[in-house]
Amino acid sequence: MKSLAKGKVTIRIILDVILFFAVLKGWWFVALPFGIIGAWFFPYYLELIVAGIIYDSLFGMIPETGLWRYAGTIISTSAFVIMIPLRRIIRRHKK
Amino acid sequence: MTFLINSRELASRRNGRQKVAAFIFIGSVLAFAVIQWLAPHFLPALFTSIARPFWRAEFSIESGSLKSPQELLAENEALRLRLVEAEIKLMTVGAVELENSELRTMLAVSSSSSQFMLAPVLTRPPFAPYDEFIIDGGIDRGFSVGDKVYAPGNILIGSIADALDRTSKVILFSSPDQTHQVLIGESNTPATAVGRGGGQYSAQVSREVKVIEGDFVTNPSLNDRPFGIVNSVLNEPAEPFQTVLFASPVNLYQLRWVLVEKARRD
Repeated sequence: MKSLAKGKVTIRIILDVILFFAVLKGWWFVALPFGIIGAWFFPYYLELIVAGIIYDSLFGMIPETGLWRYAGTIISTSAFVIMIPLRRIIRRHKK
Repeated sequence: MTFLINSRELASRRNGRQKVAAFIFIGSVLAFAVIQWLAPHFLPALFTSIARPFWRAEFSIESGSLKSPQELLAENEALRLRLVEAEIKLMTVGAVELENSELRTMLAVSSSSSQFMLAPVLTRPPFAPYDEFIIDGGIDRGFSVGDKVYAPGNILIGSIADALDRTSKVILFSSPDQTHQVLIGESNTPATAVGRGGGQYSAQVSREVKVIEGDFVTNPSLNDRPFGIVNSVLNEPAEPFQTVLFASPVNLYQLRWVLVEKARRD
């Protein structure tokens, strides 16, 4: 049981590292799928929202340029919010 | 000891947890909005200072920090040869510049009051969706919002949109939704160019106007250097206009250094 939890934590850390470097490089097409995978497998995968905020802080978020410069934050938060009920619904159907 | 929990108690506990989670979530969103409103540079400055060492390291590796001495010597020799060639060309340019300055003096045109600074490009399109560069150098080097950014060859490519402590964000003129008044071809046909990202632009002109591939596009409001070169002309028989697709003379994806024109602020 303990080793199973340890394995999960290790996978989560690996996923976080991938997410961090993908965001640093500006590779949203890598960060987004990995973030969604994380949100699917782990409860409260807040790293997804944090990644969105870091992404926009690095590449977007220029004052007075409109909301589209917050696309990373908006998309990651939406994905996080959608994943919670989606997980529950699909898992209930599986049972 | 084991206690049985009835289903109603379980449901109320779950509801309570969900309420707390929702409360934290809404609170975080509000906190984020307030931070952005009061200090719009706080988060970008914080995360950029974390990312900068990684970007610098990547830039150094790309610049050949890990090359062998033999490779570096060979490259050095090749560059020396190119420098000699460039110096010979520069002599001709020097004569033209001298003539230019004499003419300017005669016409009483003041010389440029700006100063150029070289800055390495840390991140560039196409991977970032916002079609911008992040350059090394910000307020520490005197860069500020609105400073013009040039590619080697004095080709204007964008301007600084946000200057942080040690990095700056450069919005390219080709960013989507950016529009520019340009003159196309030998006939200097006026048109409105719309950015398409990655150094690409499109503009519409009348079908009567003759535009061919390779024509220069200029933007007199920015500078007198070529703004772009026509790539292709799309002609739809049913349309009264033809669409001219043109691109910046430099490949923005390969730029590693840019020049920032610091406007003199007296």
